[in-house]
Amino acid sequence: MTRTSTGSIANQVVFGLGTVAVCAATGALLLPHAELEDVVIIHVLGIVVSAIRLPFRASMATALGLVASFDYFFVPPAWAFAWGDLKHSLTLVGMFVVAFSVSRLTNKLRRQERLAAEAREEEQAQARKVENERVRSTILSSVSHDLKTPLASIIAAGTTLYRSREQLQAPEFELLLKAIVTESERLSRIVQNLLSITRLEAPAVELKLSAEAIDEVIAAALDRLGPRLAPSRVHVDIPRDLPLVAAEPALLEQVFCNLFENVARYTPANSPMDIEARRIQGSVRVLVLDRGPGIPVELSERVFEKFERGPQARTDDGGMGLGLTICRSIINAHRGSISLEPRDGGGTVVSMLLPIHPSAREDAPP
Amino acid sequence: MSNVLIIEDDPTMRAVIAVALRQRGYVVGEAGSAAGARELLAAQRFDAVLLDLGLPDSDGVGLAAEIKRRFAGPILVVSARTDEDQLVRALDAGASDYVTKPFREGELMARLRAALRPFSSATAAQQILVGDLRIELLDRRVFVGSREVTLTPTEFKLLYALGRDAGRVVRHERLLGEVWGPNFLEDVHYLRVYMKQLRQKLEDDPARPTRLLTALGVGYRLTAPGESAGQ
Repeated sequence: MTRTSTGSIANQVVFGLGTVAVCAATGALLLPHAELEDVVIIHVLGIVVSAIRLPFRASMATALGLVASFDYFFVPPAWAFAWGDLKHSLTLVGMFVVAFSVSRLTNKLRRQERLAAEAREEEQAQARKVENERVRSTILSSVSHDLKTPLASIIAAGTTLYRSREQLQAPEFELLLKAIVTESERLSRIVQNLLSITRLEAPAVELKLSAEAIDEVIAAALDRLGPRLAPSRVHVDIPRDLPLVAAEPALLEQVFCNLFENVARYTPANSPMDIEARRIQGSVRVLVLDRGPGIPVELSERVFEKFERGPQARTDDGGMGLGLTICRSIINAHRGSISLEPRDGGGTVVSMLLPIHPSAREDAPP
Repeated sequence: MSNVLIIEDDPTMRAVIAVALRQRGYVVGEAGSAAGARELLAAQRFDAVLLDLGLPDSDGVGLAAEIKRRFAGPILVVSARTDEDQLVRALDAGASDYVTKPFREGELMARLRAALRPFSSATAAQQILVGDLRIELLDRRVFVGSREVTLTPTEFKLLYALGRDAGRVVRHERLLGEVWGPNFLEDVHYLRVYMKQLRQKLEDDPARPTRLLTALGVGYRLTAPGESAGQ
C-alpha cells in the first residue's frame, strides 16, 4: 500500500460522494449498452477504491452509499429501492462484504506500516543515543586519562617528598617540586578548557558581551602563559585606533590562551610569534602567526574537530585535541569565525574575525 | 606584623595559604566556616581577611557584606574563575580586591600587601609613588623615573583614581563615575580608549603592560613593574 487514507473529514466526505456520483454516472452511461452485472462490477470497483483510500468508517459509509445508489438507480424497478428482491439482496450483501473485507485488510496494512515506521524511528533514536554515548565515553576516557597523568605525577612527587625528604639530594628535591608545580598548572589548564566546553555546550548559552580592547585581552592571555612563551618571541602589532570588539572577556582570553599554548608547545623555543589585528569593515581581524612546523592544508579543518590533533602532536604531551575545538565554539558563539592555513615561508596562520562593538561607532569619549 | 584571618573551607587549601603567610611573617587565624569566622572576628583583632566565596554554610557575598559592617580592614576575596558575577558582587559589597583560583603564591602576597598598604601608612599624601612612577598631586605632574610625562586632564584624573588605590583592582564603574561622572557608569569603552593612551605614555611596551594591568571583566589596577601578578 502506498497511500494512507485521504486527510480531513471534509475530504473524506467529498471523496465518498464523488465515488458514488462517478459510479452512478458511469453506470448510467453504460447501462444502455451493457448488462446490469457490468454496473455491479463498476460499483464494486468504487467500493474497493474507497476502501483502499478511506479510513474504515468512511469507506463503509461510501459502500453503503454505493449500494443504495445502485439499488435506487439500477436495480429494477429503477428510481426506487428494491430491498425485498432476494436475488438482488444477495448482490447488495455481497457488495457490503467486499467493502468490509477490503477495508479491514487495508486498515491492517496501514497499521502495520505505521508500526514499522515507529520501529524505524525508534531504531534511529537508539542509534543517536549510542552515538552520543560513544562521544561521551570518548570524552570521559580521554579526559580521565589526561587528568590522571598529571595527577599521578603530583601524587608520586608529593609522596616521595613527604616520605623520603631526609634522603633526597638538592637536585632531586628541586625536580620533584618542579614536577608538582608544572603538572598542577597543566591540570589547571585542562580543567579550564573543560569548564569552557561544558559552558558553551549547555543549551541556550547567553554571552555577556561588552566592549573589549583586543590588546588588553591578548596581554592578559600572554600573562597567563607566563614564562612558557618568552616575551622576546612575541611581536604584537595592533594599531592604536583599532575599534573595540563585542566579546565576553574571559572566553576570548581562553581563545588566545589556547592558541598561544599551541605555539608554546609545538614551535621551536626561539621562533617568533606575531599577532596582528586590523579593522576589516564591521569586524576586527586578528592573525596569530608562528614559524612552527605547520599544519598541512588538508588537515586545516580537521584540527578544529574534537580530539583531532595536528601531525606534530605526541600522544604523551598532555594535549587533548580540544584547544582549537574550544576556540572555534567560543568564536562562533561570538558570531565570528576562525580558520587556519599554512603560512608563506613555513608555519601556521590562525585567522579570526570578531564583530566590532556597537559603542565603537559612537563619538569619542568627552 | 599584620594579623590575617583565612576563611576557607578546604583544609588543605587553608593550610597551604597559612604556611605561605606565616613564611612571610604574618600572624594567621584560620576559620573553616562562616560561623567559625564570626567567632574569631569577635574574639581577636585582625588587620586583613582572606575570604573564600564558596563556603558551605554561607553565601560568600553576604558574608563579605557582614564582615565589612563589623571590620574596618581590607577583605581580600578568593574565588573560582567561573563565577565572575559573584566576584563583582563581592567587590560591590565591600571587598577591596580579589584573587582567582588557581593563583600563584606571589600573586596572593602582592594583593595582600597592596590591600594592607593604605591601612598601615597614614601620610598626608602630596604624591603617590608606585615603583618608579610618581604622581605629584599639587601641581598635577607625572614622572616615570626622572622623565616627566605630559598627561591630559582626563588622563590625569584616571591615573589618579588608579594611583590612590595602587596595587588594588579599581572597578570600571568607580573609574567611570570618578572621571566622567555618574551618567557614564556603563560606558566602559571610554576607559578602553583612555587606558590605551595612558599605556602609550607610561608603559615601555604598551602591548605587554607592567604598570597598568587589566583585570578582565572587572577593572584595572596600577602596580609597580615586577610586582604584578605571579611574577
